[in-house]
Amino acid sequence: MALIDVIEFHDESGEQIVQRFPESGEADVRMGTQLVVRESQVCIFYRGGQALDTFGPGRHTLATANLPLLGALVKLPFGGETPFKAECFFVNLKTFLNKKWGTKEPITFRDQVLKVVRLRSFGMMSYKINDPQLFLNKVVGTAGQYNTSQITDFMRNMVVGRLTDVLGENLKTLLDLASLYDEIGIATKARVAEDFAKYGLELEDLVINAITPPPEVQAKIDERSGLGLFEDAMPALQQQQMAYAMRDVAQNPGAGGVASQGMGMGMGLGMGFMMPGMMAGAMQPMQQGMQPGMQPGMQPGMQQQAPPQQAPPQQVAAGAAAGAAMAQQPAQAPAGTPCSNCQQPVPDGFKFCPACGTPQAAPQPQGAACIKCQAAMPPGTKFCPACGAPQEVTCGKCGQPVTGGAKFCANCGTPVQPA
Amino acid sequence: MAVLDYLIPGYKGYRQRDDSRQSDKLFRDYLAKELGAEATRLEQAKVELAGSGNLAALNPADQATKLLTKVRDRLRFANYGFQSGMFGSKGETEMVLKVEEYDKGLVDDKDSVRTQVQEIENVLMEEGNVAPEFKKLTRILREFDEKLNQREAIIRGNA
Repeated sequence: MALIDVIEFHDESGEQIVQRFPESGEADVRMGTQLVVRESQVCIFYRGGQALDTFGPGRHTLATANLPLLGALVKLPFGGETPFKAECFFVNLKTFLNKKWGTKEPITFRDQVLKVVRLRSFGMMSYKINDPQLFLNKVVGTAGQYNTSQITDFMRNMVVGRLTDVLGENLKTLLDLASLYDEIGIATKARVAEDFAKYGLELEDLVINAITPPPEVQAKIDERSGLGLFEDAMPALQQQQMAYAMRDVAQNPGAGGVASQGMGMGMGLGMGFMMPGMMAGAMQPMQQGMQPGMQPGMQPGMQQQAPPQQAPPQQVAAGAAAGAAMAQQPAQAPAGTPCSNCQQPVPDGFKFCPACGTPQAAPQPQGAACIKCQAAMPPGTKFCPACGAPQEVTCGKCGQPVTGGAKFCANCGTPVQPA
Repeated sequence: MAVLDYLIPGYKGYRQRDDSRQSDKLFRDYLAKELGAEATRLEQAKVELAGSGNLAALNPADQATKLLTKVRDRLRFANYGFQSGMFGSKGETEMVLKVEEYDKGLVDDKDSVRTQVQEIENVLMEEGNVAPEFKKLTRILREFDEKLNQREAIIRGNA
């Protein structure tokens, strides 16, 4: 055994936060012991159970009552143990990087668009000891060693708890998340930093790698975003489809038959109504450059002679609609049922409106036609929802019920009077 | 020990340089501690920003905090000023004294940081637009950081 000890600490694993010297057994650091502390460390010197001082980088000579050579003599009445306890705790001040964190259970989040969503999140953090005295006395105690694995779980839970708070306070909907990733990370870090500081820890970095909903919610969002691609272009797409249909019918007048004639009439009528409006639109820029009271075609100085020959806007719109409707009707079936919310046509088989995203009710099964007005009715209907006609009559002669619009009683052959 | 100054040639100069380095280190640790306190105040400001929902100001606040932490750590772990090429020479003593003097001048920069952090706290209290104040602090810290580069240049004899 050397006369004078040299104490130093090398962290081989890179994960050790605290190391006591001696690691176990009697705390009998002797007088004159040389303490060597590295730049990334501090050493807290305990004597008689008191934390006397924190030694920074450098070489220090320790003063204790454990005198070399005489120490064994002093220990005799104490059963071989020194009463002058002296020990050193090295604290590693380096930054511990890449400590992963994540939610064990999904966080339930109230979303303004998607209602309630369960979110998972994960990321990484780095931390270091900021106040060695505080950390040692509050967290480590008298343990001989303390490493990152003993504290990381606690820190993970702390991060997840604070992240939940920040999400709840600052995020309205999951759909805004992309623009707020950094801010949420910073806000969470600021919150967590306070919690860590209580234990002498400093959170250096907190990175959120992802905040994601469960896969089934992601699938719904994908579906919604797919429909959103067509949201702006939907009117143009409808017009394009209409134009193609008209072109096809016009190219095959024989195949269209009455339909093509109807379309031609509709187009003509529609165009007739639309033309004044279109011309008015075309002339508008010219009018803007003219003096008040002038009409298109007038030279400067001429006065208005007569009211403008222009169709009222309602008439123009009605004409355009009528023309389009007449042109479209024979050529192809309607695009679908109107949306219950925005009245835009929803193609058959779509569960959500492509324009506004409103869920659409499943189509009702088709039943028989009304015996009077031929309107489609759900199966089992006793009165027509369109005209109110009873769908079940009795035979005037034998009194047996006659159904399905039969013209003669199936029992006695008597002609049936319509309802 | 003073006797050794006369008995051992060069020992006096060695001791002077060592004392100078140690006192410089203590002074740098003091500056770092002061800057650490400012960083804590900035973290507190960030908590207030997050609490008030002012997420837009969090980014410049975080940028300033990171830079402040960097400057603090650079100060704490800066070189002491050992140049093997100048070992034991008069040039080394001059360099060490020059570095010590230079570091003492950094106290003005530390005060500028403190003043600006105070200004940020005032604006926060008045619920004003705090983002420009954080940007101003970032500029001050960049200048501080540049001064630490110049310190390295002095040690290497490039200044």
